[in-house]
Amino acid sequence: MALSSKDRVMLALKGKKDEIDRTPVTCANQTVTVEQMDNLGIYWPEGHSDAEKMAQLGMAAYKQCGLEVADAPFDQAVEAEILGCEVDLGKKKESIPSVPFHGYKEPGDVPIPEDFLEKGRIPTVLKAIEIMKKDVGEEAPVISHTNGPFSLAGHLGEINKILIMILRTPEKVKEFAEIGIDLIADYANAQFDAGADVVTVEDMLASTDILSPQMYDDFAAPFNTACIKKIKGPTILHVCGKGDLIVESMIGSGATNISVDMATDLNKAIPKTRGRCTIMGSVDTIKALFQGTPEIVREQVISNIRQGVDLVAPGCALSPLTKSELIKAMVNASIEYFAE
Amino acid sequence: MVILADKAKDLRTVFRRYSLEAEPASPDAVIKTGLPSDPNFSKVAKGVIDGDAAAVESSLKAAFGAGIDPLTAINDGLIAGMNVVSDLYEKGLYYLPQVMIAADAMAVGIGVCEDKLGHPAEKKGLVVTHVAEGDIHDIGKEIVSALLAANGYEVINLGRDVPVEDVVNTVREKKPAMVTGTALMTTTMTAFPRIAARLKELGIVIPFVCGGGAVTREFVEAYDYGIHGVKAHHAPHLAAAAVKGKSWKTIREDYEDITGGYAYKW
Repeated sequence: MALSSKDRVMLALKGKKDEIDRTPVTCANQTVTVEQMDNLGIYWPEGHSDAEKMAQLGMAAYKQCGLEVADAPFDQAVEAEILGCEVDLGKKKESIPSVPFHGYKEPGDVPIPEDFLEKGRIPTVLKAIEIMKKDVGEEAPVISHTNGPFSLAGHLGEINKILIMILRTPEKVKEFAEIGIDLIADYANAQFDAGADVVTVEDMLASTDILSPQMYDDFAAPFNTACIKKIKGPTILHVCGKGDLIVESMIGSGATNISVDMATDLNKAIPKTRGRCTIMGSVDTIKALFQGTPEIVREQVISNIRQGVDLVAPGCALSPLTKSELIKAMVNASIEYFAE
Repeated sequence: MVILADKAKDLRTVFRRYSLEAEPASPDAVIKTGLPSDPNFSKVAKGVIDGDAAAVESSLKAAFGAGIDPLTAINDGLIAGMNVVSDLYEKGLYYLPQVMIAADAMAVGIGVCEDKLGHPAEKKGLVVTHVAEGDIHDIGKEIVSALLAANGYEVINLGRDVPVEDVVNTVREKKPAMVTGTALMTTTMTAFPRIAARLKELGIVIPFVCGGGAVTREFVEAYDYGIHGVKAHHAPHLAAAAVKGKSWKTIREDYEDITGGYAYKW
């Protein structure tokens, strides 16, 4: 009997290569596109704050393109929002909510609601996970998303100010990052309770495009490790940008899997993961999936498989302007490669 | 009228293509090589490199005491220091936080020099910077703006999530030598061709340097005026070319030479 996408992804995440028929094609980050929205007649920004709409959009890449994941939420502002940061949900159907907030001066200024799991859009996300679990939960893995503690600190203190603080008042940055440890872990655990199979900890602001590897080790890595330790299910740690110099620290976080950006050298990263965690990546979300052709996508997928990724995935969140044709090409490349 | 010396040519020799793995370097070695030999200037430059505004201020005052004029202090001290910072960033030895505090220290130093002069130093030219409409990610734009200012350009920083019309109107009214746009996301970079088209309708011809996360050369070169800004520290070189009157087409074609031998990776 053929494996379901859910089984394939879950086995691959745990490194059980011998038990699967082919490398799964999934995504650690958001997968919704305008083309999928048009097909459903469901759009952002409503899909960011309505549980049913969020669920339908979260399953669209699976149902419409065969991408082996159902996911939510689609933005990285949920946690910041419940901590009092101004959030802009956007006006257009391709708008991703952002945090235009100018930053708390002091970590002590951040209001942490006691019942934060009932605040903001958290109930929406949890409800969407439940709906997706009921609908496709037997076939596709439900992968939900949280911020990493450093990235949340970047929202709370405002990233430009946080970067200056790193050199001037580093203890303060650590205090900002500390806020996320329990909060994110509790949120992730609530996502598991709602039906998530895997939680991605997205640490987009900890990219080496922004932080030096040493800064990553000081201000991002220990907080990811502490947070992931408290999360009760399988985790993916995703960091954007060129990860070559932080792969070792990403592995050290204790995440089940690390998701790396296309700028990361897989030939160097993959051997480091062996026996310690699994790795997914890294189809180029711009040059292949956004501007590319089915042939370019196919070549990248096959290259990733030959390099030895445990799961094929886009190197980052899918652009909402990605064509379904190219998402399908990504999935089909693995199916065809293993059929040959 | 007082004019800042054009250091762009000196900078060009500093920015050579560099492979971190083939040629590991330490920050100390780069700093040692790049520091001016005259102790009056080296202290000022070191203050910038360390992002230590207080050290910049005190060493500038000491330099004035030794009879050095403020403009020479800007060129041979502050800008010399910022050149080293750019070099460290290019080599992957400095990251954004260090560049940001260096630019802060530099700005304090310029202020101290201008106070001594009694008037603002003449700027090399005007550049307008902005982050695309719908996009709030402004780290790149802040670095571009800081590096331009540190290299003696006047910068009108329009901020983030800037409507197309605001960019167009500012360019029309202020007549900058160059305009830059940054965008992190594929969904927001679509504002750039709209800006270029609007400027064209108005008969305005200007180099429009676009860069940021999702922005690729292919995307930017699909519209007139567009020049793909690859790295933030290329901005002062591109501005120097624009101020010299080079056209957007020439800057696009000569990008590698202008920015110091950066090789495009497609």
